[in-house]
Formats: sequence, C-alpha cells, structure tokens
Amino acid sequence: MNKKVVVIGGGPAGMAAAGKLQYFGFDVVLIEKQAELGGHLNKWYKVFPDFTDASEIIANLKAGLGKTRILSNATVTRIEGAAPNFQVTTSTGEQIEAAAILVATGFKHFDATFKEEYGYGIYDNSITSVELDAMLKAQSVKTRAGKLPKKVAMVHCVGSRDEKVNNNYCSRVCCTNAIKVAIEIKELIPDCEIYCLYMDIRVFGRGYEELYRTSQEKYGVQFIRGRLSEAGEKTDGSLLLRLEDTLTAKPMRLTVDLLVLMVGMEGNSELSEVAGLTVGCDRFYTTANQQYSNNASPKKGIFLAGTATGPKAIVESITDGRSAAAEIAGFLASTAAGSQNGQPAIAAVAASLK
Amino acid sequence: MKVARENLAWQKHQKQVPTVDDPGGKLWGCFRSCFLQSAAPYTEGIAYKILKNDLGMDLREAPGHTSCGAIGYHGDVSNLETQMVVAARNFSVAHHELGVDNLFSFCVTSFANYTEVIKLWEEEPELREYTEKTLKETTGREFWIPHVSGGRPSVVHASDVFFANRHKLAAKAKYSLKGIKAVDHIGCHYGKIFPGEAMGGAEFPQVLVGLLEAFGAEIVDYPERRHCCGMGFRQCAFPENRDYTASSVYKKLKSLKEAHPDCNLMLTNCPGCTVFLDAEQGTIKEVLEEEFNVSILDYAQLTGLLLGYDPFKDCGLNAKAVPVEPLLDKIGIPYDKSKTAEERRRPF
Amino acid sequence: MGKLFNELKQDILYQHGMNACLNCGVCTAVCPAAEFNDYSPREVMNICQSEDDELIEELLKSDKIWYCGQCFSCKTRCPRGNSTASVILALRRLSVRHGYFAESEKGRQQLFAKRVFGENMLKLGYTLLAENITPAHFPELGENWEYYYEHMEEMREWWGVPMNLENSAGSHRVIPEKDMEELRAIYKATGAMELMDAVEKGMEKKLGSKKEVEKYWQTWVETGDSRNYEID
Repeated sequence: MNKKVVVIGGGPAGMAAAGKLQYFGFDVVLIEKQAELGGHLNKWYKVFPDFTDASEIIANLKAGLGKTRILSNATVTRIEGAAPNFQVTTSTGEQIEAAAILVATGFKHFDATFKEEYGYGIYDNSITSVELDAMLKAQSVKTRAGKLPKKVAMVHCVGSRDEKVNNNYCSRVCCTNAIKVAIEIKELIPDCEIYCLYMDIRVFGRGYEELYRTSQEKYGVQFIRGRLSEAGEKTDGSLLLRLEDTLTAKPMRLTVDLLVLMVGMEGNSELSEVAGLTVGCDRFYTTANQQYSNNASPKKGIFLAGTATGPKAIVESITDGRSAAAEIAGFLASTAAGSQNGQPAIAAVAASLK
Repeated sequence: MKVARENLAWQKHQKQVPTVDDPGGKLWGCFRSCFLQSAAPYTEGIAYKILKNDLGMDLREAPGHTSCGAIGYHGDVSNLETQMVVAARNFSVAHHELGVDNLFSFCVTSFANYTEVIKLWEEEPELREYTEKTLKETTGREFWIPHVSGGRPSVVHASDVFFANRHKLAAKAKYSLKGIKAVDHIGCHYGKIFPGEAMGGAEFPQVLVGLLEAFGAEIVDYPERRHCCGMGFRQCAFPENRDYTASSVYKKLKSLKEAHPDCNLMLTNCPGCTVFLDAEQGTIKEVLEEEFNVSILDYAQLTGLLLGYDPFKDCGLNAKAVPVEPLLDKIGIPYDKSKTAEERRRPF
Repeated sequence: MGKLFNELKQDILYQHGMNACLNCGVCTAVCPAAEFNDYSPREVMNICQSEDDELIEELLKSDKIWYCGQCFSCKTRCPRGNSTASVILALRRLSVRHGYFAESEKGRQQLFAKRVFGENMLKLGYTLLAENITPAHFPELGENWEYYYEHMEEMREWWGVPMNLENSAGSHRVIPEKDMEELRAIYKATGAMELMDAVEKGMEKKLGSKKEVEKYWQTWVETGDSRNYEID
C-alpha cells in the first residue's frame, strides 16, 4: 500500500499542516483549487499587528513544504471508504489512497451586495476591505474619479453580527484589520480624515490593543461608536452616511469620499457532501468538540483546520494547521498495525505506511 | 450611479405577481383605503378605470368589506388580535362571497398589516387557532388565507399589480415620460416592515422604478430618498404634531433639489405620501418661502395621465397643492388652456 | 423586574419586537422622530431592556413614546431583528391601560385617536371619513380644499367615485348593518373596545370630570391645538 495524508486547501492552515506532516515523515498530497498556493494570503498587502508582508508568510510556509506533493488547479470530487482506508478522487481524474484527510478549505468573503443600504456595486465609491488592500498594495488609494480621498469611513461588522444577512457571529479579525488599513491610508495620505464606524472594538490578540492605541495617538484615526445605517450618493460621487454617535446619543450625518466595508468571513461548505461534514448555525464546519477536540470532525479520520471551522487571524490558522498535523499524526499512530501499548514511535508508523 | 440596476440579489427572492394574461391573473379582489377615500378619492377611481377598462381585469369588491383598521392599530385604538380577526373576516368575505384568490389593497398600511397577520398565522399556530375560533364565534365565517395566483400565502399592493402589468400599460400609453427626470418614493409600510415582500426589496425597490422605466422616464436618486415622508399617523392627523410631517417633507425635497434641481416628478404608491409630500410643499412655501415645485403623483394617476385620461376629472390632479400644469406641458398632455387655473380646478 | 415589566413582556408585540438591543444605533440614525424631537428609539429599547419598573413608568408617562411615527425604518436595519416601532405599540397600550398616557401632552392626544379612528370604525367601518379632513385642520391641502370640502359629494361624482352608496365602487361605500355588527363583535371580543374605553376613563380621571374631557375635545375640534386647553 502507498497511503498518503491528503490535505485539501493550500492556504496558511493547509500549508502549515502539510509542512509539519511531511516533516514527520508522511507522504502528503496538498490539493489546491487555484493555480497558486496561499489562498487569500496572496491578495493581502501587509498583515496586522506588525505589518509583516503577506508574501513573506507565504514564502515561509512554502519553504516548509519540503517533499509535499502539490496538486494545484484541482478539487476533490469524491471520498469513499473509511479511516484509515480512504479513496480520494480528484477533479483531474486521479485516485489517491489516503489514511487521513485534512479539510483546510478556508473561508469566503461576505458578498457585500447583500447590504444594499451600503451601496456596494451601486455607488462608485463604496468598496470592500479586500479592494482597499489591493489599492494599498498598489500604493494608490483613490476615489472612482481618480482623486485622493479627503475623508474615508471604515464600516465594521459588514456581514457579521447581523441577523438581516443571517450571519449572527463575529468575524473576529475585521476590527484589527480596519485599524491596520486606517494606519496604512494615513501613511499614504497623511491629511486624510479617517472614521472607523464601530459597534465594539474587538482587538483581542497580542499587539492588537497597542495597535489600536497607536492608530489614535500617532495617526489621529477617529472612532465613532455607531453602526452605519445607510449610505446615499451625492451628485459628486461622495457618500452621505447616516448613523448615530451612540456615545453622545446624537443621530448624525457624515459625508465621505470613500466608504470601506469591512466584509466578514463566511463558511465555505463546498465539501460537506463529499466529505460527509456538517455545518453549525454559523455555516462553518462542525468539529468534534469546540473546546478540546477542535481539529477533529465528527467523521473519524477526517480532520479540520483553519478558517474552515471559524474566523481566525493568520497566525491562528497557521497554529491550527500545525495542531491538526499533531492530531493526525497521533491518530495514525493509534491505527497503525503492530502498535504496542497504543504508542509506537511516529517514525515506525510512517515507515509502516510506506 | 445606477438606481434602475439589475437587482441581482433580489431576483432570486422576488415575489411573483401574475399579469392579466397569466393563468389566474385576471380575477382580483381589492381592499379600499380609508385615507384615499377621505383625502384623495380620485386615485381609486382612476385605478379602477385602468384595471377594468385598459387591462380587462375582473375586479371585485364585496359590499361587506370593512377597512382593515390598521390606521387605528398604529394609532393605538385596536389590538393585534383585533387586526387578525378583522383581516380574517375580510379575507373570508373576499373568498367565500366573491370567489377570489388574488387580493390587493390600495393602502400600503393595509398591505403591511395583512402581510403581518398572514405571517403570524403561518409562524404561530396558536394565533391562527385563536383567529379561527374568534372569527367563528363573532361572525360565523370560515377562516381562509389568501394567496396570490395559487402561490404562497400573501396579499399584494395595488402598485404591485401595476408593476406586473407595466409593459401592457406602456404599450397602451399615448404619452411618454421620455426626457423627463423622475424619482420614486415608496411608502414606508410597503417596503420597510417586510423587505422580502417588497418588489426589489426596501433599499432599491423596483415597484415604482419599473413603472417609470416602462414609461421611458430618466430615473435619478438622491440621499434622502428612503426618508419617511412624515405622515406618521398621529403626527399628521393632529395639526399640532404636523411639524413632524412638514420637516420630513422639507428634508427630502431639499435633498432632491440639491442633487437634481431639474427633477420635478416624484412617483408614490402610498396614499399618505401622495397627499402629504404635495400638501406640505404648500406649508413650506408659506412658512419658509421656499418653493420646490415637485409634482407628486401616484402610480394610478401617472398611468392614467399617460394613457390619455383627463388630468383633472379622471386623475384628480386638480387637488394638488403644487400646480401640475408645468408637468403637463413638459410631457405634452393637452388641457383646456382657455380656462384659468382656478376654473380647471373648480368645476361647479 | 417588576409588575409593569412583566405585563409588558406578555405583549406579543414586545416579544417580537425586542430581541436584546446591542446599542448599535442604526435605528436612531434613521428615525425621523429622533431627528426632530428629543427622542431615541435606542433609548426606549434600553429602558425596556433594563426591566426597571421605575424607569418604564417614567417612560410611559412621558411624551417620548408618542413621538414615533410608525414608519418602521428602525425594523428594516436592526442587526438583532428588533423593531422599536412594535415595542412602542406595546408601550402605548400599556400606558393607556394604566392611565399613564394622560400624564403627558402628547399622550392625552390619544383621546382624538380614539374618537376619530376608533369611533369611525365602530360607526361606519372606516378609520377616516371625508368629513374628518376639514380645511381648518388641514390648511396645507390648499385654497381649493375648502371648495372640495363644501362640494364633497359633487366632487366625488365628478371624479367618478360617488360617495355613500351601497354596494358601490365609489368612495365610502355604505357597509350593511349586518357586517357592521360583525365588526363590532370583533372589536369587543378582541379587547379593542376595552382599550378605547380606557382612554375615556383615563382622561376623565386626569381632567377631573366628563365635562372637562368634552371641553378638551371641543378645544381641539375648534382650534386644532389641544394645548389651548389649560391643564393645571
């Protein structure tokens, strides 16, 4: 037999897991649906809280892939059998024998056209955080008419914490991301006034709260506690915003040149049927136990990592990928033939699969 | 900016309203509007003429239909239970006495209230039971839920029917709105309470835009388009509260004038909006000495006008506070220029 | 968590309209009443959420709950699926049942709502009648409105909607007595008549006598402004 560990999804979690697993000695096949590895990471400019270049992270993870076999431009169309004897069929017609499978298929962005009141896809100057990052990467933040914006508003929680679009959860990273991009715009256009329109400032990670303070102290980013209710377009393309400044309890109007919608993450459940996975109310994959078994799926031998199980920051996806690698190694150790006392050496297990 | 855009997100969820040529689309029952009958009675008149004569609709109304009473509900003189049973009574009368399945109302508050009770009956079986029981006890009638054209439980609004049949109406139009800038204003109760029940949703509704487009108008947008007209039930009914109404109208029209000074036509579908967006312009002219001169027409009046009905006798445009002659001239609709403005408006 | 709040909680309009407010402010941002008055739907939701009977009683006795124009702009946007407009309906009914409405200027106007909307429904089956839209109370309808009011019937004939006929498509069709009796039975069985009586009773208690209530009513009918009635 020539059984592999199949990792589906070549984003940060998938790459981190694949790298670790092949380091343990397993034969890993990393299946990625796009041409390039990296997932959403390929789009980003710099990441919070320390403004590391996204490309640096991709390079680091790629370097760790070692002997991983990469199958790009491919998806998984069928999974048959049971652990540790799966047969994985790809869209390229290949059949792979797998002892364990890791689903690390990541997230998709909330489609901002569903928040019609924000005018995305209708007004010229209503853009998403994804589009803004592309502008920052090109070091050119301009309105549709080609001018430098004098006032920019960032709207937190677009597509998150919102019953109206059926996403009741928080997307975790958008607050910190908003602060990061606000700082980046300020560095590019120092005179630009920036308003972060928030319900809460959720900056939970290491260095995030400090970044928040820096954005205020050093860069003068303004924070208004009020969810954006609606945006209307004026004839010059600028946007008239209606919100309430809940801290002073006053309804207010604000005119900006550019409106940036911090779109949240949504579960990508394309593999549910194929892999026999279930999703929670938040439409991310269900894990065996969200406290102490968060890399295992309810299906034995199929594991989960990364934003496939909920919004995460990049470092959290990487850590989760490595954690999944450990879980998989442990699982395979316990199912390997000739194990003694349930704990054979990992290397012996790896050798036994070859 | 594109207002009349491809409403992709809504296309999948848009409610279906049959045209008169679709199976089951010719027979309709209707519910009247208290407010229209009191303050703008001509709208139902012209709507009737268009639906019956131009579209060939079999439009029925029961002698025993009462008002839905929702003005009283939003004016706090009736309970939710009252609304449920009154609605059930009206539906029962429509179906069992008239034999109709398709129902529309002329008032957007009726539409919202009927939609509210239908949803409650669907989602809370105890409320449905209560309604069935109380209806039987107080009136002896059988409970029945209307559904438009055999579809899901619902009623629609008169403007939905006009929207559904807009191409047929446009084909019969003698005049067109080509070269004329127009903006839409939907009644709050049409779209805001149940956005899923509004044609095109609450933010960029298509029900009036579709009609305007069919007639060839140039649709524009302005920041305060979604602002309530300020009718406000008790706010407009009691003179001392009417600053709420006048201020809302002022806010809206000021924003419209800023964005499009040459837009003089606003299309509405709510009885209250039609009356107050027009009437308060008179107040503003007197009190603030500012003139907006925006003609406020509802879907029936505009359609009647373009189909060639008499602007004053059929469409009731004589009752407008804002003189409508400039708009008629712009479109090219003839009227008796030998008479004075007052003579055109006071026939006796 | 007191008696008043518990009563409020029983109202289905409150149950449907309140799903815990997170104070985001989208409602107040677009509320016309918040623009023009000292009113905030978010504040109303928070007072209810506090479950504090004292604060709720104060709210029920104030003008605040009567500023809402029932446009439901708040319901469209709320990320928790709340509807302050529905909560307002529950609060107003609570206020009427306890007589608190009579403590505020805007609350006392409920007498007009009852005598116009309510009594019209019970008498003729419509909330509004042509005779209610008087030129005195609606000056903005223009200089021609007095003419239209005087020639009410002829104008409706002219417009093709003759009024007060039976079984007609005209304006204010006369509803048969049998149907009216059914409607009245419904209003009685569902507690609407009781709600309306509570308004009269509450006003009597506040103003001191039936005579004073009539004086208050007449002041409004004649001048269009209830503030012309002196309240001590």
